[in-house]
Amino acid sequence: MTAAPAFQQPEPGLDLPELSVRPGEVQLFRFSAVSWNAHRIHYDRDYARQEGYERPLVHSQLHGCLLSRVVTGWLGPRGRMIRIAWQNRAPAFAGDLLLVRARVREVHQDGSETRVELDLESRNAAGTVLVQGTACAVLEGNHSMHSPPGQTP
Amino acid sequence: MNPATDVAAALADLEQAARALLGRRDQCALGPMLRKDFQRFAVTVGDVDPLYFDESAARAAGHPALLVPPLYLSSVMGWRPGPEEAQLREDGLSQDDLLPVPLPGLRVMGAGQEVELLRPLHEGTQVTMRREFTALRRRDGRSGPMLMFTVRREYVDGGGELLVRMHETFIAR
Repeated sequence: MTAAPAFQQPEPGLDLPELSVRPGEVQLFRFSAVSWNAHRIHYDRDYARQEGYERPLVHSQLHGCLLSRVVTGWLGPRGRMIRIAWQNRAPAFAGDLLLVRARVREVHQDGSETRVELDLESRNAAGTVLVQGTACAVLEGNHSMHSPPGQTP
Repeated sequence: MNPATDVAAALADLEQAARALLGRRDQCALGPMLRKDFQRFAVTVGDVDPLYFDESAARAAGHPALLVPPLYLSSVMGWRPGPEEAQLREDGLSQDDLLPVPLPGLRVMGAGQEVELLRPLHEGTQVTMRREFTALRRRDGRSGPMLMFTVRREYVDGGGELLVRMHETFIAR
């Protein structure tokens, strides 16, 4: 793993560090197992083909977790994600490269807190939008490197 | 009847049956948050924050115990031991975990979620999930007619404090 890039203060238009991942069949299988989801479209190639999919599908919930990683990876211990929402736009298949991005849309100062509204998306290598979403994160006002969530340093 | 008319008629019947179940609620005790479960989840999604794994790191950050990954509760579809394999739908889904609505013969997929993270969740917290079937819409998409179901799930701790509220939509066609 490479070192995390320096934290950039949020301002509208800021792109958070992108996540580039390629969920394969092993990850999809493990996600099915840990989420107790036996839906065959996520691990059974023959069955997925019966439903018209070329390969097993990435779970909607796993897409959400990847979007979440971009937000929480940027936040680190400086704050907390308080909301995340996403809609699936196109199927992603096992082995596809996913480029997962978040961009700051708005920043509001609210007392000692900073609220950051984000737009989220995940695309494949061809540029097709697979998932779109939004999130909201709350940062401690001073953005101190080690202020624990919910506590004033 | 041609096949397209068949599908539309079957969908209309299911829509009527499902509409009668709108507002149906149930709840399920999930038990305490266990580290083996949420740590495996964290490893699987590639989110290996020390706050999920290292108690001293969690305490140093002001948490009373290990932190649970934010989307753990809302990602897990089933919390009961079953159902037995013979009770699963042909596509492998558990009818009971999916929806309080039977959807025989329909292909189902997740369409998205909206998750409000109201409080941090920690190891050992006893959680109860309350579920309600909140919305049903019919849509005529490019690939034909479909039903969109929304289920709200609220997760509360032993004191009844709301931890996570989640709206999940499924497409059935």
